[in-house]
Amino acid sequence: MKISIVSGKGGAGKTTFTVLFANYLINKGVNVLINDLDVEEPNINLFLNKKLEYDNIYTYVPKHIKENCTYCKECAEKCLFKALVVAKDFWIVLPELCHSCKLCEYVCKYSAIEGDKRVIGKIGQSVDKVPHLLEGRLNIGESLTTALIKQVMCKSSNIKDNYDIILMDSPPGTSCPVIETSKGADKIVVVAEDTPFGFSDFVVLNDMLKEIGKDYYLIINKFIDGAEYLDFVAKNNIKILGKIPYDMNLARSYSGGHNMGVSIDFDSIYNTLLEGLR
Amino acid sequence: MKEIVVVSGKGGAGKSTITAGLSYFLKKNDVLVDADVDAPNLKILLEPEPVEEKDFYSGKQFKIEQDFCIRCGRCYHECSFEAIEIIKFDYVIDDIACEGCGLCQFICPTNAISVADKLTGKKYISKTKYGFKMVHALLNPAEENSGKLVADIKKVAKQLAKEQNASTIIVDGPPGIGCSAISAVSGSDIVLLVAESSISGLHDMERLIELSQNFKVKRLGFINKYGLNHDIDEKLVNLFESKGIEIVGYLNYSQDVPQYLKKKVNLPEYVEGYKKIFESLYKRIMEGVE
Repeated sequence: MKISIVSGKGGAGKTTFTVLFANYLINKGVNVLINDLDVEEPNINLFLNKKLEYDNIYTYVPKHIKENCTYCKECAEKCLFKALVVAKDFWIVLPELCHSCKLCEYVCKYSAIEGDKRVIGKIGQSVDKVPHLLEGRLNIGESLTTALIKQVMCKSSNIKDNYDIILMDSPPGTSCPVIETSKGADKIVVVAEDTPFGFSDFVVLNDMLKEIGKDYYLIINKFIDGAEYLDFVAKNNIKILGKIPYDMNLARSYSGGHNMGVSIDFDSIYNTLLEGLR
Repeated sequence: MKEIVVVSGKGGAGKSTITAGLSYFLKKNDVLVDADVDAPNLKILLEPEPVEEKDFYSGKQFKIEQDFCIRCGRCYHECSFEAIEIIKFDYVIDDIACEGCGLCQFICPTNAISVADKLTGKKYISKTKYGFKMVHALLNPAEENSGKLVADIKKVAKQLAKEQNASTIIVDGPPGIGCSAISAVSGSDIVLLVAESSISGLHDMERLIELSQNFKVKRLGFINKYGLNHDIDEKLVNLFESKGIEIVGYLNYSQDVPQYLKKKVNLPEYVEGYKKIFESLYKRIMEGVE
């Protein structure tokens, strides 16, 4: 089962929940794989301290075959991302604008473009002791967040049969990268924080998940009174999976990357998530 | 005119709280920007009333016209993004998966694929409760935030600032270090790097500092939730110092802050102690501009 942990707002508690839930599952003897898909800022391993073995991850980028090129500029004109600059005897690709769609290669009638690859980041893997971890780490200055997330999920899919549960820690926000991690999940857990900022972002995320036709379970973190949430949940028939109290000690242990002791009823969370699958 | 961008790498480090606090000291003709278009929150504290709204188009939307489609499946097989689905017997483009590259249109043997500009959201110029104007945006659900919208609203803000003879633009940046963050930082004069006193905050700040080295901007440091973890605080101070980044302020960790936020309170407006802190921070940043 793939469980995606998402939140509209950064800092709502996705990573905290993922790490705590993974520990709970391991104690139950469940075989867990964590995917750290927050590839711009991967933080799961700060709490697990595993030794990761990294492999470079590549994306397609067009390469110029000079001797075949007529400098007709058609490739540059057709590229909707303006990733190619062509002038007389001059051809260059701007990798940060290239979306790896290969259109230029199709457009060129002279076989002057062929596929090449470039590094956009790396994937770290640790399979020594549980929980196993796959971490995507985007190279700094790189913007192909979603492309790298797809590659981590692909790698995770290849080994998914070895695990009972895969926990996918997603990036914050509500656009492409999060859609990518939500689409492939069997269950979605939304972690939202009990502040007006958190609630506003949660509503945006709720609309996005509705748009892609996905149900979810809600965890309210840093719970003070949850007033706005409880009202929204009642009106929209959303299942609350748990409430994590606002707790200074939890904040402190989180800040140091230590084992976070907090009284969360994981038994009920686990049973609820399993319910729909049996 | 100077543009100051508030970024943190890590989400939830306090960008919006600090941007809102700083904005309390802006003059009537200055401009504020909420560039966290995925999760825009400044509106909650500043109660903006829209004075101008415009549709925002980004990229292209392709559609397979079923009347002309001969179901050859070329688009389905060649799309790099697996964005073509088969529904019953028709080939249909999944708008969410579609990257908008136009490959399908180019290779379609019967020209069955049409294209239109894609409406992705709205952008606003609004008047805030403090009197200055704010530029912000709202993406339609499940739309792509490509950094284009960030660049676009920054352009609108610059234009507005010029018209109003503003001296300052403050931008609340998005989290992360990807496309949107790069867009927010590029072309600005100062970045205020907001670090959170946690191991994640430190790790994310290291990555953000590395990213910011690629830009010709002055960098200033700020530590939020100071005191949450003394060991991390020390590491953050050393990190900033080692990179030659001046620390212009601290905000102590306090359980009162979420309580104030819960009441939708902008810190300097209601709490004298916070007013002093933000006033001094504002001054230090402005000195950094000089």
